[in-house]
Amino acid sequence: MYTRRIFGVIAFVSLTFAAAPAQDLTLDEILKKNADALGGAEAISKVQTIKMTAKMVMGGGQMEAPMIVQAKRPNLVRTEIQMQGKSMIMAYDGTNAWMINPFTGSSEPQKMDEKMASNLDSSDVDSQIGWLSGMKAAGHTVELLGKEDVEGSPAYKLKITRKTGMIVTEFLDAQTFLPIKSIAKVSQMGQEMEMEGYSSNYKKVGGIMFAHSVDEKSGGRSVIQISVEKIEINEPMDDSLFKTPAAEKPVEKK
Amino acid sequence: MRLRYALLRSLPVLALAVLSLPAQVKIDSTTFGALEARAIGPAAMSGRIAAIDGKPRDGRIIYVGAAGGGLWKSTNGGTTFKPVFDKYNQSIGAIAVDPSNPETVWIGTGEPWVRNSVSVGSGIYKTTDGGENWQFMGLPNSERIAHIVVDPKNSKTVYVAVLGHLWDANEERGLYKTTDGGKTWNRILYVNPDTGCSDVAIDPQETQVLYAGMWQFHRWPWFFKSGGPDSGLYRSADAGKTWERLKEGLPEGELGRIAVAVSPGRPSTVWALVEAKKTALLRSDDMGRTWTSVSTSGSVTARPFYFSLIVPDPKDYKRLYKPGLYLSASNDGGKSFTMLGLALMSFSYHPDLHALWIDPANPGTLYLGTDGGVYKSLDAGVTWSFLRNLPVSQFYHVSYDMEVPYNVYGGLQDNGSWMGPSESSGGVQNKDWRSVGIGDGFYVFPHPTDKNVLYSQYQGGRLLRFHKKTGEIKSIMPQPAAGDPKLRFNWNAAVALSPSNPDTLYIGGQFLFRSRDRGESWEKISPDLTTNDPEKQKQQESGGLTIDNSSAENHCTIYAIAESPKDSNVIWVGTDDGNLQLTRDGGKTWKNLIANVQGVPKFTQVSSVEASRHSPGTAYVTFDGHMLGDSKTYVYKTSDFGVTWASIVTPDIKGYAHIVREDTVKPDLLFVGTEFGLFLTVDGGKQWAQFTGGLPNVAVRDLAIHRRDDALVIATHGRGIYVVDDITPIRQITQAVLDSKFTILNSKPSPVRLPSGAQVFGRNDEFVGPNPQEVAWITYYLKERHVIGEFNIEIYDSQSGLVTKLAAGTRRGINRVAWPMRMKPPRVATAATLEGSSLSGPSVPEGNYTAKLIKDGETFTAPIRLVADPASPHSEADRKLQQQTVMRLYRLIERIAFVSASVVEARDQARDRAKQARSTAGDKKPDTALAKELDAFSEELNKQAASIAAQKEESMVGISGETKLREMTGELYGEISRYGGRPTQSQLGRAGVLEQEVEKVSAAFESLLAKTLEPLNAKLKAANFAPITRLTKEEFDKRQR
Repeated sequence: MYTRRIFGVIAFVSLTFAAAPAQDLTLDEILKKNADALGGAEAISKVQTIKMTAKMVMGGGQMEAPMIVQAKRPNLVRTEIQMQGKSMIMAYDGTNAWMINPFTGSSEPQKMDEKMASNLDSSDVDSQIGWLSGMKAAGHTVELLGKEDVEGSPAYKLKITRKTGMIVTEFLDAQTFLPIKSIAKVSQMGQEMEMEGYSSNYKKVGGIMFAHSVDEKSGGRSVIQISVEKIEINEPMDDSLFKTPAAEKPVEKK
Repeated sequence: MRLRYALLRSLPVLALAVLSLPAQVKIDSTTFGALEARAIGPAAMSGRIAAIDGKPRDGRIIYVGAAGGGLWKSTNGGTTFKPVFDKYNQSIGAIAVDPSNPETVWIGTGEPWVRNSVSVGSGIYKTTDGGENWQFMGLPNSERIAHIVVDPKNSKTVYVAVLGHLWDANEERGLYKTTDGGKTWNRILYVNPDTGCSDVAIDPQETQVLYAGMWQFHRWPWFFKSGGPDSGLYRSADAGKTWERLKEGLPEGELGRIAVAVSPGRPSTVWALVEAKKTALLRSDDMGRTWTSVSTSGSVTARPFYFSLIVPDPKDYKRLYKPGLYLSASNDGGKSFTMLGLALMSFSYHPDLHALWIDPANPGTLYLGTDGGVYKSLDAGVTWSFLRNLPVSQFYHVSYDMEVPYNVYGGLQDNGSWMGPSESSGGVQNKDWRSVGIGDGFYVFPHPTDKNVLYSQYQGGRLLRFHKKTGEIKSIMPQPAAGDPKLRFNWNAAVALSPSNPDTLYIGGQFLFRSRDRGESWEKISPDLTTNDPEKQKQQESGGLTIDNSSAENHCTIYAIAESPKDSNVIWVGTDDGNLQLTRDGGKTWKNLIANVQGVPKFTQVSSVEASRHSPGTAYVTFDGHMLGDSKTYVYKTSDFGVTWASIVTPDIKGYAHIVREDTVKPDLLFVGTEFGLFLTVDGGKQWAQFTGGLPNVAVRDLAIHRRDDALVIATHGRGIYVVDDITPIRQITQAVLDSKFTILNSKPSPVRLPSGAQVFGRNDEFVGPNPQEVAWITYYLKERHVIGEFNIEIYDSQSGLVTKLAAGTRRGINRVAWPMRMKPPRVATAATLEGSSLSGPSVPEGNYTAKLIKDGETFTAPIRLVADPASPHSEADRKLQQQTVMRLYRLIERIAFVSASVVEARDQARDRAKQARSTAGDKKPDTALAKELDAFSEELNKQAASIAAQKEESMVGISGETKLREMTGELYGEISRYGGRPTQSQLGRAGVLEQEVEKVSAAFESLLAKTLEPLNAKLKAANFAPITRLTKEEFDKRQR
């Protein structure tokens, strides 16, 4: 359920340092710098699938769980989190979102509501890379809200209104044009939670910059930290991975 | 403990990897980065609410504006609130939700309820997304905005009643109008620089018709004047182009503050509350052309400057509410009023009311803003519930004690005096706070050595001695002796404890009084230290048209007292009328030093004096001239007993200063609280920066530094108490550190503590202040934000064993990475359910650890020292036994995981081979005999697996009731983990039993394999199937990593 923050946040790259942070870049200029920072629009558009293997740490190290995130164009997403040898899966095939949560009663797949679906939708390939012009091209609305400080670092504040209606606010470091913070209202069991993801430890994978560390905060306190261990690009992924599996035993109707 | 901390403080900073650049780095708000203030409330008593508005067609969405505590939004009718304006001015004057576009909200800053302690605003703001983002829309010098009206037919047209300055004349006041959504403003009604606009109303149907009240008023520190020839009630029929000053039916003579409101249910009926010699509620039934007085009852006439508000019912034009000292309502068009929420002289809400919002869709639903927070009624004011989630309390002063954990003490505007713990089980909650004084609260001090005694105080110097055990209160204020003049005490009279003698305390009237016996007797140790100007002592005449003498204007009094911690004969005194006095002989002789202070206008109040802990001739003083119309920041230092003074202010400090505090350890570390926040310097005042970590731009009235815990306690006048738990990293910030790329900062030893537990069921409707995190901190300074490349932290024990890995903090300035001092959770056998207790790793033992910070290929190390919880009652031997037992069970849980995996894998292989044996794929002949043999084997293994771990899926944790070795061991591990002392004999015995049980299962498994595996594998081989292999420990370990 934390997937949105995990994915939407992880993205963006730029090794290009602006000589001096310009005060009044236009949205288009910012999007261009962002794409260049990530490795270039051409390289990003060739990414069809992403598989991330990561460690999720909660409670400041008291609890940890391995996780795998997979995304495939156009907007298929699947996350798997393991605890005590069991897997919690949440996935979205572009239409339906479903989950298997063996810790709340059953290992049968459960349908998730539209809000949860839009959380997952906002973790698609472009969101994970953080390619804002890609999002724009896909029909999501991208607006420049201005410049704002992120913990003392000047950043461009951009509002992304997704086709699902979900709103994500991305902050691009004014020096590197890499995303350093992302805010999203995540729906969880009908309650809205505002999550702030802080990204760092950017490293190049297959020519594209990926954040390898994400600190998820809620209400100013760190709640989850993600350390990415491995990122694989364009590994073949079958669509069936994302589709609701048939229940093992169909429920008998009486 | 003390000694160790002292040694630590003297350790030099470990400056590593210093790659200095020539340009010096200045401190700024980001320098202190991850050091954050923790809000502990309270919301048990809230603070003054100045304005409330809500969404017209969805009454669950409301905005509450506090007098000094910012803007709060609720989307659920007050169950929860979120502050949405923390980056801006915290004094809210007016809120207007645009009726046509409710996501658009206008906020006018600067409270209009102009009591002596009122804050100041900074203009008007707008959001178009329900409070997520705000835009400044102008009127920067308005100081206070009384009301905002958005034209219900045109969102771009907005009217703003600008009250203007309270303490001096100014031009930016009157009624302002925009027709372009706030881009440009026109002042459409103006009288003169002494007369502000106190209210504006619009006819919701005939929107060209407007009403406005103009109010002539002025406050001085010693006097308030409401009313004059220039006050008036105005009407416009052309959207503000021309105005008529109304005379017909208004009270005789000069007028004072005026409120006006149109009945939404019948807009031709208009109400005006007009202060005059004979204050009256007026009514017009012809759209304001003619007026009649309908009431002069006490309900409508009380304290007009403070309660000038009238609220018609949204539907019924005959019903209207009058918030005042209490709430009254009329059902007969204002002829008679009934008090609401008042039974047997007992209020159902905090008295002193300044805001009332009625849900237009449900007129029985009321939100009432009081001097003590917000109350909600669902029955039109008969019964009330208190919203317990607005920590907007307005402290004047704060102090602390030496309990573990320590308590904080302070007095609040209109809410008495309170004490509360700095931390508490489950967080600091409303129930943790205790009332220890009455009235308006100010200084509160616990007795330095007698845990049962504290001193509190209420307005005008009424000093109390409170006994904690019995709750008894003794009045100990000094009384005038024979021949004494009338004693004068400030509203917020100066009280100080002696740092040299626990039973000695001081209070200042116009004289300085000293008691050496806890207030039983007082000695006058000074002459009148003030200017004693008779012109500033006419409080009985204060108020203007309505006399208002509550002691808030008491003047020519002592306002600050400080005995030097280095020499008890050195006492510094500051007065509210600008004298700065010093005695060096315990009060025998006094010298007025104010002439030595250059650059402060005459008669400017001394707002605080801090006698240095490090040198007797050193003191710091703040001056506050805002009540004379001078809002500059004044902070001065002397090092020669006041002969010379140097200003230590830079333009980085914003707002008039209330308090200066010197650090207990580092002389050059100073803190200043102003009307707009907390500021600090690490170099004696050369550079200042605002401390913004977790702290809004709220007025900081007092500061205390806990000398044992190195915590900074912050008393805000609008957001309660905040605590910065450990300021030792700030003490280590030097220019060399600032200029370095990366520097590790020492951390204090961290106590290993166990969580305390109580059964609490959740709720959302109450503020809970977070506790300090029970973690060890790895602290360092970064000159630049880390974005690209590797940066991680590894923790090692004293044997260089890797304990855990952590993500590094990456922000510019001070970073703090929390390590919860726990091992990784144990590897747990896979089963149908989660085993809850085993999700947490055990606490690590006390001792020395090392953090390795790996950044861009370089490694830096920081020592971490974990110590026993100083509050732990357990012996070292008992703690050791507990830790050993927990580790014993930890290993057992992992042993179960291995045995379980071995059994399950053997079983699954057997099942797989059986399936293969039965297969008829291709032209294969099924081997039924082998399959049956495999079935028997897997059945046996399955029985063993079932004895290790629960197999039933469950809809609720623990509901299946199935407990096997895995669950039983987890439970015992959890029980023993949660108690820091000796496990019971029974628990110790049980651990042994479980160990034996596990070994029995393991032995049974081994014996089954020994008996079965070899012959079975031979048959499998003969049938060309892969043999059944056993899981090795090596393979298991590898897989788990």
